Amino acid sequence: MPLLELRGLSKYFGGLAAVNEVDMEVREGEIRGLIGPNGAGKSTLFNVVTGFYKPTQGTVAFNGEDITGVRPDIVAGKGLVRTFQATVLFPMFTVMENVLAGVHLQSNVGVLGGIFHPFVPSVREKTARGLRRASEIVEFMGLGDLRSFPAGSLPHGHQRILGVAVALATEPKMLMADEPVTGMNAEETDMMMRTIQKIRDELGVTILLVEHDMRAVMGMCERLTVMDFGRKIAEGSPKEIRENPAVIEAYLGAED
Amino acid sequence: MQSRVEPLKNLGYGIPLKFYIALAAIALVFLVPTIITNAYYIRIAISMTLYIMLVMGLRLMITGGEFNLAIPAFMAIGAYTAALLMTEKGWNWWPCMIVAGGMAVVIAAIVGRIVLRVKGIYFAILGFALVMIMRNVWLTWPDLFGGTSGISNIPTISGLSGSLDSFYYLGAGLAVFTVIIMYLLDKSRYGLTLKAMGQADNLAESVGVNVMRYKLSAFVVGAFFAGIAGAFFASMQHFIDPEEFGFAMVLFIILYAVAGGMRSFIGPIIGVIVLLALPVGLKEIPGYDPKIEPIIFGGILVAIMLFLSQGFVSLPEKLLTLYKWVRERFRREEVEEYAAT
Repeated sequence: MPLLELRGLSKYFGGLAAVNEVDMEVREGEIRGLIGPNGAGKSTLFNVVTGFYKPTQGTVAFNGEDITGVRPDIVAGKGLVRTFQATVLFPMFTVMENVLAGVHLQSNVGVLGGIFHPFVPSVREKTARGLRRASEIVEFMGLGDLRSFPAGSLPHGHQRILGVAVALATEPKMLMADEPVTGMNAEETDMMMRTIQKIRDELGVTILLVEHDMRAVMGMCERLTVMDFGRKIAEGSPKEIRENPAVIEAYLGAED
Repeated sequence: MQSRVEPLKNLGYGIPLKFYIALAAIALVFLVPTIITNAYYIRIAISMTLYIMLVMGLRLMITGGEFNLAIPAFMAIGAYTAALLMTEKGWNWWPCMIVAGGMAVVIAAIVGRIVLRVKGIYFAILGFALVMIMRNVWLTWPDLFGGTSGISNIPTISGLSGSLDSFYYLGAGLAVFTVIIMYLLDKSRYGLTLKAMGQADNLAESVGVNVMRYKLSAFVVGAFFAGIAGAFFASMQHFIDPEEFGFAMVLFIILYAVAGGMRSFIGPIIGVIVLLALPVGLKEIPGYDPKIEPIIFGGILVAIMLFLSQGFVSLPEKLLTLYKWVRERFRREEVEEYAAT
């Protein structure tokens, strides 16, 4: 059974089909690349899968459970978490606090828990556990030296890594990274790619990467799915994709 | 536990020194009537306790990224609930206070679900609309709520001597209670989650925060304290009417919060104290005409927006930066003079 399964997924904005009848299966433990030229509908697909948009048609199943049109916080609770294309962080928090916010799912505290928190051992234990967990993730992501640094003033590459760390703090089964290496230099790209590989290898998290830079993902994804104009046009190993005429046409334009 | 985790600014409680300063401040609050004997000043101090209760509710929601202007509506609900129970049913004030807070909570929980469907400026406008709607509610059923003339002859609080000082002590107690609860919330995981939402609600949502639930709970907590403040206000004044909880109150709450500094916990409290004390101080100036007060307040707000965007609380920091800048300037001139010789 695939971990993530999309069936006939469509999202229309007015008359425009941003995502059009996409079928896709991601197996557990896989690093899957979702590529395509700008405007192919990759990010819309992301938003539909993670519940930020409601699909017009089709279904999304995660871990055997139908999550079509379910709210993002609930999707996250089921173990499917995304990162954002733009650098979305809690800029006024430190690195540690950012990750701690991500640990939320594991140590959710309501109003009463908030008020009585210093006096109730179980709530205090929850908070302490959250802190320990956040600390582990900060170390794992190699941000240990920057833990007290305000997120908003980190260098771009580290901000993106922190974005992944925040998502990872929820202890997901599957991580969907939206253009994790956009705007990065070669060194930063390399760092990010190694980190993502490590997350899969050491934590067993399934990964779906969106990228429009084909070269960046070719090296690390076992399988690639290619989208163009909202449709899935190809799927296969990097080698197959590189030789696929439809993909070449989508990226370079048809040869007349 | 582990040793690697340093204390965080936004979670957990600060250094013990802070705790003692807070204790000293609370002690000072309760010493006010023994220091100040002027009845007018005590009235101002009572207003401060009331506004502190209101402004803390605004600040709680600001940390979650929303501007809750509906606070006076819930204060009115609390005030009318308590006033009616006391005058019509002859209830004692204390249970009335609880019911007033509860009524505000129930109505906030229902209305909040509707108005929180929008965010940002739209939510602020709806909050303001709630204030206007409640005012109309009081005016529409004069048999029940007394219409424009409001409700009068509200009895005093039982167990209290009824003197101004006794009202101050109760008000101060309620305000301190509010501030302590808000501080506990602010430094807990609950507060951390609210602050996270305030910075990036989409990211908070994507890591599993039910944004609506958190906003709603913050809205309800603010309404609860506003409701209690309303009950206190009704009994202290012995009289309420719909105009008390209107546009002016919304404006003052915003002004105090913004002027004090919304980002810091203590900011709105300082805003209330400074701006309520200011007219008192100004009246001491010979030849001062209170008519120009709105101009002064407006001027202060503009000045804060321009020079102190983080409010009064950022003043020491700003002054330090200014001092360093000036010192640097002089030093450079000295060096240049020296180089010229």
